[in-house]
Amino acid sequence: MRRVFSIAGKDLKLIFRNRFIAVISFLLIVFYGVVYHLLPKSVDETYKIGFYLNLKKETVRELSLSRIEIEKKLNEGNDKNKQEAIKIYWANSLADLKKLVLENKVSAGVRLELKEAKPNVTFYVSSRTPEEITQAGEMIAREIGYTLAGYRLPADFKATIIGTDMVGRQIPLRDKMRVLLLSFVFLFELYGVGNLLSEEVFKKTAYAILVTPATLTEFIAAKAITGVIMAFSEGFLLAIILNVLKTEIIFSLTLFLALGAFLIVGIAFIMGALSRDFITLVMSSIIPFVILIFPSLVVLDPGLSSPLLKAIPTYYLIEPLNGFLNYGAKFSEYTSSAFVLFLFSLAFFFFGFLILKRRLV
Amino acid sequence: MKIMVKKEIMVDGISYSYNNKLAVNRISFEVGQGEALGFLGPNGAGKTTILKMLIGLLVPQSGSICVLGKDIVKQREEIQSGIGVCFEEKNLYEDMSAGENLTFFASLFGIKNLNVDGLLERVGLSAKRKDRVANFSKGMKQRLMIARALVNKPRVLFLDEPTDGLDPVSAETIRDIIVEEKVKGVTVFLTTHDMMEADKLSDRVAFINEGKIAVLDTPDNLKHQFGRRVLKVRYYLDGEVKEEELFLENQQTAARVKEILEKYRVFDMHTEEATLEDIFIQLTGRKLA
Repeated sequence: MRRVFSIAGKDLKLIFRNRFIAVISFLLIVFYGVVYHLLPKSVDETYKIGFYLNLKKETVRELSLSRIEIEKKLNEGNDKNKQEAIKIYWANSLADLKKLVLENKVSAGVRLELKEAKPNVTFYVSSRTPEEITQAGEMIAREIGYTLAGYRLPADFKATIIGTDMVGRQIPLRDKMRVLLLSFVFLFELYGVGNLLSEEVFKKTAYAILVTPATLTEFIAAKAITGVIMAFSEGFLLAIILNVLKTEIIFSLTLFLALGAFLIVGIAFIMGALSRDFITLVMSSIIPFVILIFPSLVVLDPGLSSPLLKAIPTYYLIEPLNGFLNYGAKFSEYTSSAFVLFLFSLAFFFFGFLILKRRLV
Repeated sequence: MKIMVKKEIMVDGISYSYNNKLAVNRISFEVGQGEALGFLGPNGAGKTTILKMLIGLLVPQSGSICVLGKDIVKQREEIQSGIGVCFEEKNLYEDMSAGENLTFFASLFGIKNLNVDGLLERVGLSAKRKDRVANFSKGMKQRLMIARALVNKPRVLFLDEPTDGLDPVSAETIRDIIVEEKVKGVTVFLTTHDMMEADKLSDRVAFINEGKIAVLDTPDNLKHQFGRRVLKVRYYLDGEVKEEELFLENQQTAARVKEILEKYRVFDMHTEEATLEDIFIQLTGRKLA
């Protein structure tokens, strides 16, 4: 172990002496923190709602209200606070209404049917629509019914979710970005650890170590320790800057940050062992980087969600982080993710070790 | 009475192939304590592969290697505690200082109180202890590499092209250290393609070509066995300098020398021995560089 710590100590010293890696590793964290704190705390409260009215012509005539008048009525009193305004889009068919919802042009769509005496109101929301928006939409729909009829309609309200149901709450962009920023910190460490390894291989300093009593296992263990310390401490530091280390999630968050650091170091082993130098490391890491960052982009836009996400190792890190940070999830909800993440990390470590061994001896 | 010299390196029939291409073909040799063996051969002859097997970076595909009386495959760590290696590539940590490089490698050997200043002084770098290695010249880096190879006071030194492309001062410093270590009883395994250096530093030399040892003997024996000893005479003839080579073993040489001295004004006259390079070419049909 003494030799492992000697090598790890040397690695940490070298990381901080490499200005580029130091910038990537720590100044970016500060930058991420600044970006996060500069982003607006609140969200745009303009409620965009789509309508499709399936009414008999005579009913409309009877109601003697035009669409413009409805809109005008709904927006009465909202002029002072534009952020809480309601914007209405009119659909000509049910298909158009659903399209508006799915394309995220409106927060919700309302289909109002008045074929019989009792009106039917169907409320369409997409999977990305938070619950309070759904509730607000229902209220607005009732209000419109009242406006149209002049009295509270004895209507049946039915909410239909289009796409995968992702019940949640409306989260400001900057809160969603916390997961993305943490992912960035981890993924940039791919370059830090990868560079540490590729330099040792390319400049043949690894051989100088391996002709001492230090073994290849000790050499790799030292790199793993350095990498995990770097990735974890950076993630943890960013978590502090982002002010997400709350008592109720500190254990879960710390555990997943540690597992995430372990995963990234495993991947960095493979990238580093396959690269000649930093340039080839950057070039060869582009595609893996994009793939690995993808699950955190899905947090920003759930519409990008796909079953294939589960094949991406970082999914098992991003999903729990998103759950803990944005939805107050408990660790018990993500124990299987922790297990899968650990297995992925072990697999990457194993293959990284084999590739490194092949390159060095 | 025959003095038994302890064998620090014993190689028996080792072979190694890269992708079915034989790089080292059943090589055997021994190196005694305090002896310097020069391993000579052109690039691609198999020198580095043999060196890598001797220092435990490659496992021989056949045959066996014993260094310091231990098997390199089974007791690699124990052997590596007692050897020092100086690579051809300047594989130092360039963002660290000279002192930090030495201290780090000493820590891998479990040495806590390394005399860094003393070691740096030996290689003429005592004033550079705190300087970043990246700012060192090639010669300074190579001297530091030698110092690094000595941190654990090795019993066997493996040196791969230690003076290749160096300035005369650095090269001489390194040669002096090699001689000093030899005097202390350290065994030296030297790979080089510099015949002059091998001639100066080695007790015995091995010519390696296409993965095989072509010949292994002392430089003197090789010169005697394969060289041609000639006397070169340059003299004035009709206002021009004429050169003549006379074989020392030839019976007519004495008479011809007498004749030249009597008839012509001699410009210069000296004996010339065959170089190791000449012998290498004679034996392998290849040049070294």
